[in-house]
Amino acid sequence: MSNYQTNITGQTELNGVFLNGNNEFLFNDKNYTYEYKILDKSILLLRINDKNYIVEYELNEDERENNEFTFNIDSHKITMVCKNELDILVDKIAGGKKDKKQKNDIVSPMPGVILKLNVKEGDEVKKGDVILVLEAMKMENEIKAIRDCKIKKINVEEKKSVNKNELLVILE
Amino acid sequence: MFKKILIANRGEIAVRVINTAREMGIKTVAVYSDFDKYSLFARKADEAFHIGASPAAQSYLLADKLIEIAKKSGAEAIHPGYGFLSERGYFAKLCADNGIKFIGPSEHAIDFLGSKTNAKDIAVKANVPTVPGTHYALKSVEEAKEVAEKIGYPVLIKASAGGGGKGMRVVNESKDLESFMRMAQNEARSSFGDDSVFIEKYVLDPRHVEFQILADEHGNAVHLGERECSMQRRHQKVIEETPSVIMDEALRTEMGECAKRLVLESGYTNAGTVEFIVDADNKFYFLEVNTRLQVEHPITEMRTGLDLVKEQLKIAYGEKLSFRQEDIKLHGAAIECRINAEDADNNFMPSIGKINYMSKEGGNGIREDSGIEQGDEISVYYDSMISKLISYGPDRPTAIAKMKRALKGYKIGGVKTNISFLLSLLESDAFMSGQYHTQYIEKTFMKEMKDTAATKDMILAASLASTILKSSNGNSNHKAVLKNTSESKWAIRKFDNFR
Repeated sequence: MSNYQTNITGQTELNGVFLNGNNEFLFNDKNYTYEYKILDKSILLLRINDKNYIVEYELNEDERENNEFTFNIDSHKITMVCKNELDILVDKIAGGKKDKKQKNDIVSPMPGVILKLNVKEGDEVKKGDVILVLEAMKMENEIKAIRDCKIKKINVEEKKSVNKNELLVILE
Repeated sequence: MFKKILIANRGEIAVRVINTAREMGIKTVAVYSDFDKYSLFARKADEAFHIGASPAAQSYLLADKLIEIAKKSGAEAIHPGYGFLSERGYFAKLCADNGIKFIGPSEHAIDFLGSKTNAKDIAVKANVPTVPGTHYALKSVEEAKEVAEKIGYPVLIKASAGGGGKGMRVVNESKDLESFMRMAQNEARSSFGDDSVFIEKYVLDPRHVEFQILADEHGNAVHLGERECSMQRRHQKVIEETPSVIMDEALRTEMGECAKRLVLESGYTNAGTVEFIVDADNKFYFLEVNTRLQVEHPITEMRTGLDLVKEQLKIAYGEKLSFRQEDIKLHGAAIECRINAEDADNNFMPSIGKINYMSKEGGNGIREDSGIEQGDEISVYYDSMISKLISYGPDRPTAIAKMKRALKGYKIGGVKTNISFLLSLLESDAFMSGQYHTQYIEKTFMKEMKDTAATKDMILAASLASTILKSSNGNSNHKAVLKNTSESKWAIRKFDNFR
């Protein structure tokens, strides 16, 4: 399978990418040559028609499950959705109704202490509301709601020390 | 000169001190925690002694252990760097009591100027402007009204026991004074159990401008010009530059002389920084004194041609300053950006992990002070600063262009950084024009910051990149990588905030 469809998240314009395996690819039916070298697990050097691009990318499992890739190119942040033929077929069968997999667990991004807990179970929160404040690395870090939702369960209390990846709050 | 010194610090500042000591033919002794066993500074020093466990409270903050190692190694003096024990009077005293020279001011000067109320008293004595207001608790609303009329609105009502913005109210008109004062008192009572409040002039959106001072032990002091440090986020300096665009020769001389009077009045010696806030009419008020070398000292070095660590060592050794105020010549423009391991898109959350890849920038007009190399780890134990990138040019536009070039070329893999944030800040109209204040980032920049549209080239590159990553998904080890970040044990660290 070497046919792919990409688009910037939230935008409707679709791009067709066809890798033909010979350091050449078609982008919207136009032919390009390319080379690449993975400089690091999060940095890619791309050379497209002899032009250099340093592409930094994030390794985010949730994103990958939704076929999303977030890049930083020349200090511009771009999130791309990239689908292969199978993904496109699955989409068609589901009639475009397939919901995005929602992230319901809020886990601690680093070891720290819960400084403040702003919600209780059953609370409705809006996107951007501060759910809790985690003190780590001598900084206060606000953990915010990524979408409008309801607080299903709270696993921590104020003053509690938490480890990295510890489950803090479950959203509904 | 000293034959051997101990550096009671880690990371970039330890490296910085080692470099100058080596240039002066002085041997260096590093101390390292478990975590820092093979860190750059510990490798670089002539000698390296283990001091304790990774948390600072069990290593770099152990004053007695530092003295013991200094004695064992034969170090004659201790350089405290910044942070850790650098502004602890008791450590300076402990050094003195053990016949070891503390490379910094005396215990008395640290404790005296370290206290904000004492420092303010000295400022008044030295005829240095302070923010007008009362420093004693107000007895009545009538008294508050009287003071407010005298200093002029807007005024700030502050709880004596205050902190963290609690018990604080800005009053714009006299009709609001009474009710706002009651509110501040109520808040102060419930938060601190003490409802005494005082009043001072409210300085709206001030700049933070500081002056570097050198004072020897023979009663001589010079100032080395200003540093503009108004680009702050949550009181943390983000970008510093010198000169400040608001400065002319007359204002520089006036503020510099104030700073000198203040340190001479208090008997302060060695390097120090006098901080001021400046209002929109260029009226300045004394803020506080930092009794140590500062993170942003390199921009002053670029502009004066001096090595501040060298001057610190000479002063500590008892030498007289080898120059007078009129010998100090300020040239060009310098900017410092602090590259931190933090996620600028996620509320600047510190980003810990191993630095797998690092491609640095140098070349004409770029200086980098860093204690971190490829393969090193950003841990939870210490500060998240990766590097201080400093640019220097004959004028401000050149220094900005060099900094932009350096930031664009600086690539780090393994942790998230604030590099893109720094770049967009440098490119903001406010920075380009120099018209910014301490509230700019939070009040304006963060709200207006939006992604500019991606170019066609970028979309092409991102499409290909996503296709490459997607097509290699089956046989790649991305998931393994994700799980492979450090799982260091958490430890609570409490030491002074030196930024």
